[in-house]
Formats: sequence, structure tokens, C-alpha cells
Amino acid sequence: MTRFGTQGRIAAVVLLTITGHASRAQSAPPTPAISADTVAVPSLAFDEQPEMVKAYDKYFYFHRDGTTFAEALSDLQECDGYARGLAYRIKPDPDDPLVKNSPIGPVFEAIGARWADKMFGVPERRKARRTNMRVCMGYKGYQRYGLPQAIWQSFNFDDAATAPAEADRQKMLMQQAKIASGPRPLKTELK
Amino acid sequence: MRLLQAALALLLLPLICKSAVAVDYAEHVTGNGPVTIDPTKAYIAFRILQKSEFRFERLPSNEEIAQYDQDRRAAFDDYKKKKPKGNDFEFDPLEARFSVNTQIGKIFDKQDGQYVYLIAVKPGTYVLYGHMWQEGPGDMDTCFCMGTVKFEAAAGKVTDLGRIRMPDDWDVPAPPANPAGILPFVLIPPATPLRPAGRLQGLPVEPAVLHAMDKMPNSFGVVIDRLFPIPGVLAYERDKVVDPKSTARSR
Repeated sequence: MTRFGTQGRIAAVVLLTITGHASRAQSAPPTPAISADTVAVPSLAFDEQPEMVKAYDKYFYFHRDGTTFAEALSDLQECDGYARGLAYRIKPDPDDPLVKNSPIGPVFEAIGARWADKMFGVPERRKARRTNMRVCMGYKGYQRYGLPQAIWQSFNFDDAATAPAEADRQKMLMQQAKIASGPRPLKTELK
Repeated sequence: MRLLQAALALLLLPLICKSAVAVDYAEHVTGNGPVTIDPTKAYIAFRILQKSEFRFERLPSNEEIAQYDQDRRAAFDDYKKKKPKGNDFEFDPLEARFSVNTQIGKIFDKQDGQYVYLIAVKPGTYVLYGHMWQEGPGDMDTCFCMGTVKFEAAAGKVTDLGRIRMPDDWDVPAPPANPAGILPFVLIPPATPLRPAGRLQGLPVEPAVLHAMDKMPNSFGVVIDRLFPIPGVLAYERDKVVDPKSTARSR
């Protein structure tokens, strides 16, 4: 397994990113009891336009009947644990002859890797996060409802190019939990 | 400009490795002749309709976990000594140390149109971890993180896991899709009593005694799912993994 270490080191130096597979501890640290009353959520009211409907597979929120805020928060934190730190990442290959044999190879490849990751890695991680949230929350019995991108972005994050600060992440998960445990949306659930 | 960037990035892709963490390949039994069973090793047999790769994790002992923690701490101390500016410490997840990947091309036998794989492993309790490529994680890896099976692989025995139905296998009907619209993997335990055929004939083959395995963290950072329920072995109450035999949570 030594080559992973080499690769990891090079990737770490070059990309200054973490891939996030740290330990068996999966979800976020336990949150002290928080009242839903203290969590401000955006209005989810909007006039539905056809182009919004097309993007519902990207922009959605969860809701489940008969669920408390604490349950929803715990569920969202668990599912966020499955969906964060996704490892699909394009990195320089330390075994590439270009890196090994050329003084400028590593620099060239680092730039290339960063670029290629932006083009292919970021959209892939965004998609995988959506999949994992849907799988996890879906198995927990939550339904999905579509939103326009602008409202979605006000209390969601995609974790793909950059991860939100932990405090911001937890704040948005609380907003999502308040909505998930609130009144049932008057819209049709997504399939 | 964006198109040009995309085209250039595409050209660069073959130069670049996307692997974050890879695990070791399993020792496969291949060839054509008679098979010699090493009494110190355990053997796992499984079938798939389409050649592919899967990952098995041996559940580590407490001592092995303690050793891992110690190694991780030592690596972190070394890292801190370099006075890093950011926090980019990386260390392979616990699962990587105790997992093996099967290798797509290393076929043991072909029976009834299915590829039979036979791997030799350290005896222990194994988890069918996921449909994972050794050079992953890429965009084609799935961890059975939300529910799978575990089984004992005993020394000197071939433990027959049965067949793993791939989502796009065509010979048996597909189960319903998961909440993200993705077809799940199905483990079809072998019919008992076993009738070892082909190259398995004459070997000490036993059916895997399957148990439900509780949820696991997504340590390799891949797409998640769970195995489709298995009658009498693996059931779910919403996202809770249930062992129907004990009607209790597994693990």
C-alpha cells in the first residue's frame, strides 16, 4: 500500500485539498439541543416556470410527515455524512513518466489536473452528492420537492468545488431540517 | 473558450490519475488444472453474469483497529512536524487496510453463462463491501454502505457466496430502483444443498452463512446504496438494517 502514500502526499501538496475519508466516525459531532424556533428559513413560495421544473433533479428539498425537527436534523446530518468528502477527484499521477522524468512535468501536470478536475471532477462530485442525499433520505422515507435554483442556493450547498465552513454547513442543515419537519408542502412530490 | 478548455482538459485526462485510495488486489485462483486448497487460507467463490470487480472487507479485530489508530496518530505527528500551513493531512481509511478487491480478468471458471471468481483470503468475517474498482474511487463505484451482508470465511474451505446480480443483468428481472432511480445490486445466495460443478467439484465448498450487516460509513467517498433485501437474511425498516433471523438490529 506504499504507493497510495506517495500519491496522497503529492496530491496533497499539489492540490491542497483533503479527500475527507478520515475515520469510521461518520456524522457530524453531536449538536446541542436546538429549538427549531431559533432557525430562520427562507420562503419557499414561487411561481413555477417550465425551466424550473426541468432542473428539479438538481434543486430539491426533503419533507417527511410526522417528523420532529431533532429527527430531521439527525437524519440530514447522517446523510450529509454519506454525501460529503466525495473522493472522485482528478489528481496528478506520480507514476506518470511526465512527472518522473521532467523538471517541469509536475508543475504542468498539477495545473492540468486542477483544470481537469474543475471540468470533470466538480460536476461529478455535485451529481454524486445529490445521489447520496436522495438514496439516504429516500430510504428514510422522506419525499422530495422541487425548488428554483435561487431559493435552493439560499439554504443548500453542493460541496463540489469547495466545502462550506462547518458552521455554515450545520446552519444550512438546520434550515433543511426545519423545512423537512415542517408543514407538508402543497406541491406534488418528485419521483 | 470554455469548449477549448474542456477539449484540452479531455486531452490531459489520460495523463492524470483520479484515484484517491486504492486497496490491494485479492489473490485469485485461476488457471485450468486441478485446484490445491491451502489449509491456512480461506476461499470465497462468487458468480457474476458480467465480468467486474467487487470489494470485500475483513472485519478487523480490536487489536488491528488499535494498531491502525496508532499508525494514523504517528503519521499525523510526522505531518505536524513539517509545520503545514493548511490542513491537508491524508491517511487511508481503516477499511482500505483490511479490504481486498477482486480483479476483473481473473476468472476461475465459467458455468451456466456466469463467470465464477475464486479468491484466497485470510480467514475471518468478511463484508461484501461494494461494487468498487481497485483503482477507484471513480464515478463507477458503489458502496453498500446502507446495508449489506457479512459471512465467515473459514480456513481450508471454499465459502460460496452465490451470485451477485449486477443492475443491468438481463437474464433475471430487475428489482425496483432505489430512491435515486438507480437499480440496486442483488445477492442471490446459492441453492442448497450445494452441487459444486465444473472446477469447484471435489473442493470443500460450503454455502456462505449470511448475516445482515449494519450501515457503514462512506469511507471511500463513493456513491452509496444497499443490497436489495434477501429473504430470511437481510431486511430493512426504512433505513434501519434488520436481521430477520434475530428481528434485531445487526452488528
